[in-house]
Amino acid sequence: MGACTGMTEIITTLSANFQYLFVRYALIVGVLIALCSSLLGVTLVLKRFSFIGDGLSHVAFGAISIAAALNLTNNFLLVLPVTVICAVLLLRTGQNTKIKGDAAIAMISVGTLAIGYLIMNLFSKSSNLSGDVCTTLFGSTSILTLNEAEVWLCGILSILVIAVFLLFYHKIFAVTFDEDFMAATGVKAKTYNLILAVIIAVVIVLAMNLVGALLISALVIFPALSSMRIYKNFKAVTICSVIVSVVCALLGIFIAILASTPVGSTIVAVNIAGFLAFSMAGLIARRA
Amino acid sequence: MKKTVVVLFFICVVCMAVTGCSQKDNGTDDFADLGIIDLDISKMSGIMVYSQVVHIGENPAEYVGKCIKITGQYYASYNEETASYYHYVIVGDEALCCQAGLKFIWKGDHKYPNDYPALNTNIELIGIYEKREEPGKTNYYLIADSLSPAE
Amino acid sequence: MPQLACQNLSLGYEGKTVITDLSFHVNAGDYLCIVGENGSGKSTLMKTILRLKSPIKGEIVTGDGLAHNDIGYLPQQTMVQKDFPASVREVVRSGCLNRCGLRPFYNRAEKRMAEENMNLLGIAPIAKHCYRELSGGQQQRTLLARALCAARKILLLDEPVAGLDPKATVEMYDVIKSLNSNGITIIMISHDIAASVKFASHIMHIGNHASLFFGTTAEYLKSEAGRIYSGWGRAPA
Repeated sequence: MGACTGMTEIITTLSANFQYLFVRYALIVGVLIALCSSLLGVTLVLKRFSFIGDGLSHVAFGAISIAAALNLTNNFLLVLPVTVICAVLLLRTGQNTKIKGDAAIAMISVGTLAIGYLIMNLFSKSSNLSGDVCTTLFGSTSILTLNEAEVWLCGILSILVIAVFLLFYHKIFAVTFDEDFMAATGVKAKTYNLILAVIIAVVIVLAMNLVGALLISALVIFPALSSMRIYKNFKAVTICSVIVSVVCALLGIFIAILASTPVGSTIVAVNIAGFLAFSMAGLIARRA
Repeated sequence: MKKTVVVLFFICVVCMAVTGCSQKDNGTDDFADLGIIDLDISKMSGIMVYSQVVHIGENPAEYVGKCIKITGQYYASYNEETASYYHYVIVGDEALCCQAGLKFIWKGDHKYPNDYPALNTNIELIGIYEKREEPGKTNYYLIADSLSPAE
Repeated sequence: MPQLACQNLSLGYEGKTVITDLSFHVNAGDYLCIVGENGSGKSTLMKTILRLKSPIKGEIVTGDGLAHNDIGYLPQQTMVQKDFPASVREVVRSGCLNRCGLRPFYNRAEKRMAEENMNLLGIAPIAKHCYRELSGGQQQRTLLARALCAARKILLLDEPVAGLDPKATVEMYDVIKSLNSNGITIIMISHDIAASVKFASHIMHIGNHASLFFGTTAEYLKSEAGRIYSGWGRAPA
């Protein structure tokens, strides 16, 4: 059968590719980032902050361009704190403010993107400006050009995010489901919202390496939406989200390597296919 | 239970669909068969080529002594300080928004520009990656045994 | 020492004052019903007591060792999204969070309490069902079970029987009464004056931007406001 020979061919090519160190790095980092972003995706979708991934990634892009203009060797030191601060501001403006959540995100998102690009054009000493911009916005091959230090950093931050999520799992569920009740009964809802904002920012900055600034929202929301088509309790949705996200990221990286397509867009395309598959499965399961 | 079965079925369908997208061709190469070439970049898919060359550029010490075969665009530039030409083979990433390259030295008595191909033509190089200490800095070159035009 | 005392409270929302100069107190074990017309500010009062809103003037004093996490709360409406994936069990257990502190997981006692409260309210059979797919009455009982998990000393309820059928209404009142008998202080907003008079130990009647009456149920039935509202007297001409 055509598919069988196709599969064996693919498996041999893939295993041949595994010998390359940067491919192994890409897979490790890809899985970790997919894991982290899917964990938070459930909360973000339910809190109606789906687009925050986009907004924060543009902020990160702005911070990266400032770091490039200032010639900082490790731009993480600037990008991470700036993104965290913006995340906190954005998630706080969600309730009871003059500027509602989506308008605030739009302002910050578009503003930082424009200013970032402006600064890059004015001050950057890089010889390949459009290449740098392209890589930051779309991810391009940045996941395949990681060095060991970056992999370690990603690894440690991912493990921190996962640990925080597990420790605060019930609290995150509670403030997502009914924040007023939590505040009324003496649970420190504001603190947990703050913690949530910080880890969202960390995950966004990490995820930019995988899919680039413009595609991050997809990585965050598609796995959550896919699982919500089928499962109806929070625990199942979270676990399914993680599995879907990791599988789609792995498939996306493999396909990108084999078919020589941009990694970020391929992962998003696989996620979309997954969402469609789950939606159909959900429809059928409901009819049955 | 039923939900899980339906979900798994659809995942299988998606995987089958994805399988149909394989476009690998398995060419063989005499040198590779003889085991002389350690790293054949010319046979890799586009996105891997770029990543591999970037990796060589960032971790040159790991590749010293390896026999590398690479295809890419030829480029040369003149360095006023050393009053000599530097030769490059350049590869781009799949979106062609970024480029990376390796410096090379063509073994034998070749003069620029007559003996060398035109700029931006595709060439194929086979050679050993080596370290050269030069005044002021360390450079890494692919010492090419052969340079031939490629499609 | 009253468990909760409000002194000279002025409340409002969106710039307008709804209640001025309200004073009352609640002792441990009391069953207070807050009654009054729509729009008189009852829900605002409850939210202010729970510190979800700030008063315009006046102060709220807790005493008798009442801490913020001794409070259970059943709101009138919970804005839960259309497709929020949460099972009944997950919702009820989330009421235990105010006991957990920094502890990441529920301990066995808390899980058992959640099961008991679900049994008490008859929702144990639907423990695995999605909250959003339940009927109004089932959702109300889920939220009450959650409030019970949170309430260690005092339970605040905002129209707990709104939208329930008569049988469920009776069961709800019975549950609340038995909780009160076990020592939980109840503060309840209600439109059901007959039930309030039947079960409560104290009544507070709010109207005309002020407290028209505050005292024991017996006194209420003798008062002007009580007689009109409970239908025993005649409305003024």
